Formats: sequence, structure tokens, C-alpha cells
Amino acid sequence: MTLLALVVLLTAGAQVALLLGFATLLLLRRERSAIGARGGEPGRRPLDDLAASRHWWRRAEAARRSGDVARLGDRELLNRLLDDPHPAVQSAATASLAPLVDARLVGRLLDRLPERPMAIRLQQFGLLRDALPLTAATLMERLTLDAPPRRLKSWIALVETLGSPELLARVAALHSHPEPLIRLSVARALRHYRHPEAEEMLLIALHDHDWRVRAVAARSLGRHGNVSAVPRLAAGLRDVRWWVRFRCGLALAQLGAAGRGALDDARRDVDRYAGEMATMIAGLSPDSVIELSEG
Amino acid sequence: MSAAPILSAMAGGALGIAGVVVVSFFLLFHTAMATLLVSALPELWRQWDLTDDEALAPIMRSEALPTVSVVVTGRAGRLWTTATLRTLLALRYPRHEVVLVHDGEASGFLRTLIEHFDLYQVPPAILVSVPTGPVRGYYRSRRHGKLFVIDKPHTGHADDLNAALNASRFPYVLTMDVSTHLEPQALTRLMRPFLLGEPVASVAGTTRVGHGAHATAPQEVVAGVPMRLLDGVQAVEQLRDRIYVRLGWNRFGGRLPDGGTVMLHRREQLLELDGYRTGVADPERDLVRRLRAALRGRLATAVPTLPDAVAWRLAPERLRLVAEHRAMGHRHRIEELLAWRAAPDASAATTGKRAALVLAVLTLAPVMELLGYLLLVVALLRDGPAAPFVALFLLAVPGYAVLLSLWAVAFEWASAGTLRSWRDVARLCVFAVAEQLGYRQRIMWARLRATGAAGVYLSGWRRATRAGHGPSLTCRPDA
Repeated sequence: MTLLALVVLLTAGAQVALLLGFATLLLLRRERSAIGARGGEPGRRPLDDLAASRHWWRRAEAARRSGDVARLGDRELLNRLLDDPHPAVQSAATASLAPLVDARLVGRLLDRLPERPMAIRLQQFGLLRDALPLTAATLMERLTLDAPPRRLKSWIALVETLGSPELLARVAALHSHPEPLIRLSVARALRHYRHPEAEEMLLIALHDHDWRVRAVAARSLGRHGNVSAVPRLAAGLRDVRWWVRFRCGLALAQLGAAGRGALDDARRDVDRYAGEMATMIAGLSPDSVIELSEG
Repeated sequence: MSAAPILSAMAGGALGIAGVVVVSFFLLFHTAMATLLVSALPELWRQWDLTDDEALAPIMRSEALPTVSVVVTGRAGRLWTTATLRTLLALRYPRHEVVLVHDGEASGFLRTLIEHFDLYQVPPAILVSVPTGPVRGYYRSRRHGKLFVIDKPHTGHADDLNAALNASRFPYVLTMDVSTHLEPQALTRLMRPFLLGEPVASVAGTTRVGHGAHATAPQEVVAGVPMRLLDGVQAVEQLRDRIYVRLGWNRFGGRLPDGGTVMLHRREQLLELDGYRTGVADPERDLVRRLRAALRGRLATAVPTLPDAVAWRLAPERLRLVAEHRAMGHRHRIEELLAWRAAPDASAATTGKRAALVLAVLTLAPVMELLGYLLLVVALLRDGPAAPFVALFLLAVPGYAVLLSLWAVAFEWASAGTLRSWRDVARLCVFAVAEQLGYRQRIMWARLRATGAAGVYLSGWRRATRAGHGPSLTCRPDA
């Protein structure tokens, strides 16, 4: 029966742990709700205490209130909360930044963009878009060939969101970057930049040695809708990679009568793969072409 | 000296030892479950729902969110399938597509889908990255740009998943059964770990048991506490075993998915693994195992379960169907355990020692329970209801199980927001008690039979079940 007694003791221990754990959960949730409603005891705690708390929702509340303090010069606190390990705190800190944005802060946000979780990055994109003149000026200095590739990738994605022609022109200049992923990002961003220079760079990217860049370039050319790209896209139907042939075919289908004509010609191509792809794309309805081009 | 008293004393001693073993086994078994519930608590208060955050609300509607392909496989009636598709097309997510595999006879209900969604056949504009069986045709909808239907003969669940994987275009792939009903916010909730940069390989969403809207529209699942006893009992069982105990496993690397789990994967990783393996009993389970083995040593290896209410389904209407379902799950466990036993080194990458121990305990549980009931009868006959074993057994087995169920109901009340009133809570508490009165014993019996069948007919059973999956047990006939 000693064994049984031991097991019963273990059982009781587990139940006590459950009871205590559940009670703590309820208490913490109640406190979180109270903080969220900006009421209750925790609301009266000094900001530094909240910011140093081990509970993320207290730090998030500190971040929500830090805007006012930061306006008085407490940048250190805001920076600390912006770099908090919990994304909710980062989000709250980002939301507090709106009235405080200046060139230094924009620079700091830009430099840390690649390390942010995706949701926070997107939130900061919104903040940086709202401060476009400052962001554009700071980005222009940073969009260079020797910038760290990881940061460059995030910045190009930001430029894509901002859609500023000056910034897109600067991005276009990165089309010969040694990193394929940067060239891919450039080719993707250039779909928003309808300019002869962008067209030219996309046509160059159609011959990139990385197939992903070729496929994305074809997709961007289809989006531009410029019929001058038809011969190069028709040649892309003979690419060794299925995805490049597919994207070139879809791009041709988006280029009106000239593109459809090129697809018809390609159906009789001596290259079997080009012919098959052209036949397949020609059979798609206009809605399907749009849906597949977007994806 | 007569031999009878000695024999009687020996029999009494043996019964006593057996009783201690059975009661200890169940106390330890249920305490292990309670420990998992304790470890589920930090998981519960760690959660931060992006959809509730005001600062992030505009982001959740942003086109910049990663796109998701929702892959629907399995079989259900035509009304059920169209209702599921309508729900999926209306999910609140900036950009997703729905890929349905119509798996069955050419004379199936594809005609209904064509009429209902205005489908038209399209050329196979698909890169076949994973080889699959033959496909009869691909269809797009004129009315819903997001919808894509693959019509193929029945060649197995894994083959359906692979065909859909080839056809899916987006970087994240959600796999689900056609009998599952997703919450409108399901994709945002399931994407949370990826959006927050958590080091995860895939995410498992839990499925709760709901109830049919009304008799004339049984294909509509209502997200709430069921009214019928059998549905309610399964709802409690689901909350305890498949949601909160499973959540506790997150702290220990996560638990493998089982039938009804909604999984969100990175498409790239599935292609790296050459998709789903055909010829396995549960392709999703097998995939997660291989994924973990392939990612070992890398940063993102966890496959966590999310506690959020993301999916609902109807429970099987008959106890016989439930028992068959549980028996099938039990046979899978035995098969996995035997595979590990036969070649522990070969299986080490996919089934660790800890997993094998868990499988062994789960396999042993129905045998111990049956032994417990036999001892209970003997104790009642020998000493009447006052026998110490009777009270110990009732406390350790059904009593402790009720307690665990009540904890699960409490967790649900505190965290998920699916219990709208005290009546819902009270009803679940009643179902928690009712589960131990007949339902538990029926399931135990089904599992015991599965153990026997697995032992005697293992090789024959393998041949019979590995050919493919049968119709969804949870599907309802059309009205």
C-alpha cells in the first residue's frame, strides 16, 4: 500500500498544481483586462515599474503610455520597449510612435526592420508610409549595392508598399545585385514602376541565371502590359524551367491581342515544351489568367 | 492443514496485488494527464490574439499578409460539401484560395459543384512537383476566383493531398477534412505563430465538437455546446484529450496530429519532403513525423497546437461509429508501437523512446481497465460494496476522469470564449459525468477488440486499411 500512498500523494500534488495554476491564470487575465481598460490598481503603477515587469501585458501598457513620456525626451524607454522580446509590446510601442517620428527614429526603425516579426514589420511599414517624406529621404541613403542583403530585402519590400517613383527608380538600380534574392525582390518591386527604365531592367532580368528571378520578371512584365515585351516573353516559353515558361505564358495572355497571337504561334513551336505551355495557357479563361497571375 | 484456506489466501493476495497495480496505473495515468493540463496553463496565458489587437487590426486586413491555400480532402454528401466550400470562400483573410479534391467516381457529385459554383474545366496549368495518381480534370469557378477543384479517382488520402499540394499556389498550405467547419477568423489565428516569427515548422489547430443547425439543414455546423447526450459526451472528450492535454504537449515538443486536426504547413517544406507518403495509415501524422526528423537541429522544429477555437465538426451520430473510429485510432497506435519495437533504430528518427512509451501506456490502458472491471465484480461478490477496492477503483478511474474533464471545461470557459452562458458550462459538466456511464466502457471494449484484432490479424488488417481512407465518419447524409 506504500506504493498506492505515494501515487495518491502525486495525484494530490498534481491537483494542487492545477488549482494554483488555474487561479493564477484567472488573476492574471483579470489584471490584463483591467490594464487594457486602463483602470484598476495596476493603472496607478509608475511607468518604469510597468516597463520592467516580467509580464508582457504590463510592458505593453507601458509601451502604450510611453508616447507621452517619449515626447518629453525618454527615448531610451521607448527604444527598449520597441526591442522587447514580446511582439505585443513591440506592437504597442510602434502604435505610440506616430506623433514622435523624426529622421533618427525612422533610421532606427529601418535598420531593425528585418529582425521584426512579420506582423510588426507590416505595422511599421504603415507608420513609415505615414511619414513618407522622412522615410523616402532616409531610404534613399540606404538603398545601395553594399547594404547588408537582409536589410536590403526588407527595404525593397517597404518601397514596394510605399510605391514612390523616386524610391522605385533607386530600387531599379539594384537590378545587378550579386544576391539572387535581392534581384528577385527588385524584379517583384518593379511591377509597380511603369517606366521605360524598369521595363528595360525587367527584360534584362528575363535572362538572369537564377530561374526564380526570370519567373518574377516575366510576371512583372505581364503586369506592365507593354506589348514591346512580347518577343522576349515568347522566347521565355522555351525556358528550361516550367515556372518560367508558365509565367511567360501568363504574361503573354495579359498582353492583349499581340500576346495572344504570340501564344497561338508558340502552339506550333518546334519546341515541344513551349508548344504545350502555350496550348495550356491559351485554354485558360481571362478570369483564370488574372487569378493565376496574381498568385 | 487443508489446502483450501492457503489457496483462498493466495487468491486474495493476488487479487489485492492486481487491485493495487490497476489503481496505481490509473492514478499515474490520470496524474500524467493532469500534469499535461498544468503545462497547458502557461500556453493559455501566453496567447495573444492578433485579431483582438486594435493596433494590428489594419494589418490583419492587409494584402501584404502571406497567402494561404486551403486544401480540402475527404468525402461528404453534396450539400455538406457545397456548404463547407461556401464557408471557406467567405473566410476573413486578405488572400487565400480553396483547393477541393473531388475524390471518387466520375458519377459523383461533381455535376452539383459545377452548377453551384459555375465551374469550368481548365487545362492542367500545374507543375507536378510530387507524383500522384491520375487526375480526371481541373476546374475553376467563374463566380469565385478563389476556388479550384481537382476531380480524380479514389487512390487514397495521401494521393489526394499530393494532388492538392501540386495545385496549390500559395506559400502556406492548410489541410483539412471536408467535414470540418472553419471559424471565419481561423486563418488569421492559425497564421499567428508565423506572423509573430515564432520558430515553428507547422501549426496544428484543434477541432471542437459542435451541433447541427436544425433537422432541415444538417450541413450547417453551429459553433456551440451540443444538445444531444452522445454529441455532448464527445465534446467533453474532445476538449480534454484533444485540446487541452494536447496543448500541454507543446512544452514537450508537441504531439502528432490525429484525425480531424487542421494543419497549417509551409508549402516549401512539404515539397522538400516530396509531399505525403502513400501507403501509410495516416499521411498527416506520418508527414509531421518526417518533418520533425528532417528539421532536427534547425531552429524551427516545433509543431505546436493552438488552443484557439478555429474549427468545428459534428460528432458521429451513433455510438457504434464512434467506437469504430476510436478502435481505428487504437490500431494505428499498436501498429506504430510494433513498428518501433521491430526496428527501434530505423524508427528512431520518427518515433522516439518517449513516444514509444506513451504509445505503450495508451495501448495498455484498455487492458488494465478491463482487468479493473473484472476485479470490481470479484470484489463486489466477495466483500460487497464496502470493499476498499470498489471505492479506490471508482475514484481512480471514472472519478479522476470526471475531474480531468471538469478541468478541461474550466479551461475552455476561461480561455476560448466558446461557452456563452452558465448553462453551457453546466451542460458540459453533466456530459463529463455521463461520459463515464456507459460511453467510456463501450470505447474501452472497442479498443480491446482492436488490440485483439491487431494481434491476430495485423498483417491482413494492414493490407485492408492502407489501401486508402474510407468515407469521413463525421459526414452527415444530405437532407
